[in-house]
Amino acid sequence: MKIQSKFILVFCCLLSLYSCKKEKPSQSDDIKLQVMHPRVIWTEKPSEHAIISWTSTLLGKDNYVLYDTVANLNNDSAFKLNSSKDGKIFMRKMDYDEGVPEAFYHHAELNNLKPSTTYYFKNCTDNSCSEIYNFITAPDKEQPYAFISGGDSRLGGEKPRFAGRTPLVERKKINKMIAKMTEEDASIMAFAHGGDYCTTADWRHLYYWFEDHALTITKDNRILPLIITRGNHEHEIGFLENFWLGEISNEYSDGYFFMTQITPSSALITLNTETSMAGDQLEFLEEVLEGHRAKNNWMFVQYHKPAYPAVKDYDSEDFYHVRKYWVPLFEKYKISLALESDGHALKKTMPILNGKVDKNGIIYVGEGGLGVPQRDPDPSRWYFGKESIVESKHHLWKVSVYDSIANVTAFGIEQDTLHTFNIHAKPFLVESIDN
Amino acid sequence: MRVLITNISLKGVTSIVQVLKFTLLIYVIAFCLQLIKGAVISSILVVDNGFSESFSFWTEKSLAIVLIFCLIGIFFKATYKLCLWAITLFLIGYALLNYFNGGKSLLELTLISAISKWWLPILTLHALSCDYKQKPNFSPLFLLAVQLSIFLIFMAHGIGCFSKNALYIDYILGFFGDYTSITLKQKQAEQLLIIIGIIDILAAILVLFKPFKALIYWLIFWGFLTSLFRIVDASILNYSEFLIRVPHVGLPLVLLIFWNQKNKAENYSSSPSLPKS
Ligand SMILES: [Fe+2]
Repeated sequence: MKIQSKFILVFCCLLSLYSCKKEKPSQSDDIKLQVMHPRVIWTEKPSEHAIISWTSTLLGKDNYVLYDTVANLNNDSAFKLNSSKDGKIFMRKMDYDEGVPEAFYHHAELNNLKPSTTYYFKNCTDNSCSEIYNFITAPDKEQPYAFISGGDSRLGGEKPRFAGRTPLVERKKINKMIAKMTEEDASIMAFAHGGDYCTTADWRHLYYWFEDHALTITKDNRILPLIITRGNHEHEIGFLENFWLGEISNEYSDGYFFMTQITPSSALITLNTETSMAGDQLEFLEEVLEGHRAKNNWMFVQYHKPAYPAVKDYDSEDFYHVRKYWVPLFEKYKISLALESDGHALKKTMPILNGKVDKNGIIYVGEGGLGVPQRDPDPSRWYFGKESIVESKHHLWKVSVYDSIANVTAFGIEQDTLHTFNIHAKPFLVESIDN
Repeated sequence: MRVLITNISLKGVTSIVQVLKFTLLIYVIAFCLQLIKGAVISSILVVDNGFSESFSFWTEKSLAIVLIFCLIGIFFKATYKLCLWAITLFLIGYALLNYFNGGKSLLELTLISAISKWWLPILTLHALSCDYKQKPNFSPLFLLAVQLSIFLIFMAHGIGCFSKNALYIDYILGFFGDYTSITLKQKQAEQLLIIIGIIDILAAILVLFKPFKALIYWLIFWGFLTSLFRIVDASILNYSEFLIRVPHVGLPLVLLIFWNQKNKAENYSSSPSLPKS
């Protein structure tokens, strides 16, 4: 066979693969301008900084946020901030087939905010503005607070469960519960999502995630800021487009690891199991623990793929890498609690130190129950014992932090308590590192 | 190529059959091991389609058992065709299922790399039928399919290197950290990946258009080494990931047999595909 015909054959193979991704032509004629999907994102300094993101049906020329500390948000006196990043949300053929509308993402970075303050805002694309929402910035003084943690909110509802064709019953229920819990307990400050928002980060999936996320908004329009973790179902460009974290995200999506200083002595480190765990991220983790652990009585860590899985294969190399690279640092710097996702089950391990159950060790909770159908976990694994919980139940975790004690409670889909336990702050001195 | 193909000895055909059968055997066994541990099929059955855990458990196990029977079937003249077609269908279905389920990085690349393995059973089928008929009349497409498979595997590797595949970075950092006194930074590992990526892509192109003996040895060595990293890095418990990459060695080995046959043939010089070295 001639070289030319080989070349044509290879070219055809690659072309046919590329055609799977091919975009359909734009459908944006006669579309009414609409703004939707408001959300607030926290990154490193939530007492003074937040990202407000939204979606619109047209790109618009003027994308901005109007915000102020007064509820009636006067158009003349309110601060106006233009968006930092806008663009068309990538759509592939399957997205068009699913019938989701073409849309545009917008992100605005609010800086120099006042701590412990309610900010009222509306996001606008040209002359179309959202209703007025509000969020509260993190404090700069010590105070008790709580945050919600959970992961895996993809799918749910009737079968088969595809994108928007079936109502995602469990996800909606959990989201309504988050709104209710936030209304009942004003100390809840944030919603730390452990990743796997949808089956993919393509628009046919994310669109419905954002639609359902609106259910977490309280009756008085308070939006709970999200602290974003990247899961293994977020490899598509849609994740970078729609969950922009300023400098933390980058064009290769190998960012998404950072520390959120929630109160002066309490922090949450978000790690990314979907990028190199042994490289820059490991250096970041060591630096951040070395530099910040001593002044933070409470140091929580969240990431997607578990070190100690309840469902999936313990020997899988991703989980092995979490144990190999990160767990030794968690143990060296005595982190308060590890928040994991991915497995689709409710779990709390026994405290673990040096690969053994040890009362001085770290407890790992998880493992993804925000709507995804739950799997059968394996309670016979060595890290589960009489103080553990290993069940197949939808859930979220609420972590309530006081001065030297924190309560960690798993709530079921009916807001029923599934498991509760307390952890004590482990004060940490740099000299106490035993090498 | 016609000259080359028709000049292959019966011994050569038998060697090709043995290598392909062994490669397919290990590859499918690795698949079965992954099915037994719980794979994407059970996830799709339970999570997407609401089947029970026990149903999905037994579905995966049953599929693994059927695949094992298919593997046994390839050793018998009466059943080998049916069994190899069944394995092909399974491999195509599984690759597509993985792709549409999402949840894995570089899915397009995985799909490209998987295509190279779809026709592994068909290649085995063709080689076996030549062997059974005692006629070394390989289709001219046979060699091209082998070359194309290797091209796709190494191309996918190369693109993976250029797109800074996180696992590859961690293999490099882990290897240097565990087995040498050199501590590499991620940036350096990425630079090394670029070099590896260039070599991979170059090797992929050469294997398709101008293969030569040293290149084939390199492909065998590099295919084995990169597969071995799966257990060097994450311990022997990660053996199924190592085994599933056996075609990365087996296919270049088939090419090597062709090469050796060509050298033995008298009128090889007219072959446009594998020119004289
Ligand atoms: Fe996951």
